[in-house]
Amino acid sequence: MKQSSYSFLIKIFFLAAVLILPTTSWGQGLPEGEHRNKVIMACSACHGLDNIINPSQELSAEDWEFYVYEMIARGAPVRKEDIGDIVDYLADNFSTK
Amino acid sequence: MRDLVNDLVNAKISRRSFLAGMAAASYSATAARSALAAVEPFIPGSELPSNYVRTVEGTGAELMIEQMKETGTKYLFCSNGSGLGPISDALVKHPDIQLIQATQEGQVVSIADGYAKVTGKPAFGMYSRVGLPHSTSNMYNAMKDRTPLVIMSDHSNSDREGTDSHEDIDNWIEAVRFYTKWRWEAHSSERLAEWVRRAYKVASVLPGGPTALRIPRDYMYAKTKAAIFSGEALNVPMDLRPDTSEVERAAKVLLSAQSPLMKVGPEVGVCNARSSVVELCELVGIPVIQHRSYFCDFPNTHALWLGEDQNLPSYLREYGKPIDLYLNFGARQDPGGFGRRGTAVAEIHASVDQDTIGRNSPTVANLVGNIDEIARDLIDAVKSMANKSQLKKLADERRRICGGLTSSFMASRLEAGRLSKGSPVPWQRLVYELRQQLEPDAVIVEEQGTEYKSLGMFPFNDDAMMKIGRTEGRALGWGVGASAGVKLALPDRQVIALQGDGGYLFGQNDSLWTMSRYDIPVMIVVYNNGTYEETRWQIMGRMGPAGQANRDYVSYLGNPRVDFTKLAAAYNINGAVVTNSDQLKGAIRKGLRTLADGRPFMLDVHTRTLGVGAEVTDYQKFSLAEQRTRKV
Repeated sequence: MKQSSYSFLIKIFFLAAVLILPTTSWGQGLPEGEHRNKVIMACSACHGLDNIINPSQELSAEDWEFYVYEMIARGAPVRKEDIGDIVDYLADNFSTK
Repeated sequence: MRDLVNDLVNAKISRRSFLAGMAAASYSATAARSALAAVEPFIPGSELPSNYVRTVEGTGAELMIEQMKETGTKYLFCSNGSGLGPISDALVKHPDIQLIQATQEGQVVSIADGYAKVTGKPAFGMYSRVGLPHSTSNMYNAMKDRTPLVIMSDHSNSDREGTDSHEDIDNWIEAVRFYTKWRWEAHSSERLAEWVRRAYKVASVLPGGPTALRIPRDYMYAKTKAAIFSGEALNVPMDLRPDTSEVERAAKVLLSAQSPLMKVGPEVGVCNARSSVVELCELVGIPVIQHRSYFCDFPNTHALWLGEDQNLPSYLREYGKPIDLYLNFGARQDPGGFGRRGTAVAEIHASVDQDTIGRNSPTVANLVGNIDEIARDLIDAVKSMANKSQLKKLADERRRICGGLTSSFMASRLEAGRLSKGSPVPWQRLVYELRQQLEPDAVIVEEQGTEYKSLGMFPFNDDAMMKIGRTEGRALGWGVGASAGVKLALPDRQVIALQGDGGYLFGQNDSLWTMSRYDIPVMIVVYNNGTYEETRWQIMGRMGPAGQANRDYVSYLGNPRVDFTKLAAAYNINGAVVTNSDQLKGAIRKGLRTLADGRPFMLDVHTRTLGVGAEVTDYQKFSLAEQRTRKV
């Protein structure tokens, strides 16, 4: 039977988009930008930021949008008015295709 | 209360004085009357009420049915087997017991489990003697959830048991030892009714749990005579109140806390304690987080609802004080203490389960009792120690901060769901569309992975929607059957089963037969992403050899990609396949119309998978056909 530990899985999920490389400390590696702090607050509630900085997959702006919506649905603590800012920051700084 | 009982039993006071004394001791009228009923047989000169016990003659099976009926049961959940022969004969005399048949024993238990979770009363199930191994994964789930069930089966005839002959092994009952609260192999026909009521009683007393009874088939056919107890005689009031001094201590700790947090678990729902827990939290201003539970144990639209652990940092940032008191109401303790962080936060644990309370981490107060009674006693104690203005001062700021976050996060989830679109369908859009169309009091039966968190888009409360699932045991193969049981318990509410394709394929198709035969209108929604997504994340995400080689050994579910509507069609159940978010609205509408017409519906939604290994469709290829030397 398949069993799962949600707290573990939510971390692993981010290995999802992700190949964990060297550990990044709080906020380190995220370029300056108007909405940098919102990204840190939203994403680091559940996982480290390596996933963003060192993704294992090529991600387009559209992919980032999908991931942000997906994370919010899973409970990433984001205010409605910040959704677009977070998508824009990630898409602008971390799109690779 | 002990003194009052002593006085009553020793004829020092009358029944009327007993009730007055209980009222003076702050017991409710209901609790006082229940206590009187329980102690009445021991009062000198009092006799059992004439309707409490009656003697009945019949076959063993007839007596079992007679005793089951006294408990108020309406259904017997069963599967086929010649062991059901004596019961079939007995039902000729007792047509008011309705059989709900499943085609596999595991689903017998899951259907009964769903029914019992909603009614709060033991559900009866029965299957053939060799069906027990099939049933055990859902027995395990029921045990982890403490669901009250009485699961019966026949057994080798009394002259053959223990011989290791046809359909017999030694110690059958040992197989469910750890999955049951109580178990028994019957050894006389005249005591069958007694064992049925014992199984019922043990299952029903909090904390509940499944019980198992095996009965040699010849005993069920044998003619006998036995006492049948009325349901009233079997009623055990479970309004257990916590220790008074422990309540006072807990109240003092609570009032001195700068930043309390409550985590609610399934016992809140089991004890029907939501309203008293809400009152307690409102009184002091305690934010609430939901522990794993098959209920939503606190209204998720309430201003003090924080929901999941990840919302806690946002609250703490605004409130500015770290959590210094953790109230665990009705959940198992996290190993290592609050938040599993090993931090030294004082914990008050409230539980009706003596095996669970204080088990995994140190506590400053242990409140053993019914959660509703605990909350009410704590409210009274707090009110006696602080005046209204003091309490208001404590509560207002926390409530304001928390309420802002609660409404904001739910609005964000809905917005994220609304904005998501495309093909394959983002599952959060599916949840959003369901939210738009479901009835305000719909019931969601879920057996999902971390997608369950998106259920925060639905408003759950006693007067709103209801959530049942997922099981604490997490053994997949429960949700579809359970949704049928839930619908049987709540025929006038919309019931929606949310399933992953992987979870569904753990033998759950069997329950469609039951839904179709008995016109049980449930909409089964399958998140069909062609993969066991979360095991893939776990296995490949660890970046061990499989992850580094980008190989998915056991999670990919394509080839063959299952068309769930075709499975449903085999059971005469209609359905729809959705591959693009644009199709969702119409398909859901069609499904809900089908439910309104009294039939189940299968909604197969092709959802997008993501994360590590999402693109991998490779697996360890093997074709037996190609290995053959003869093409036969």
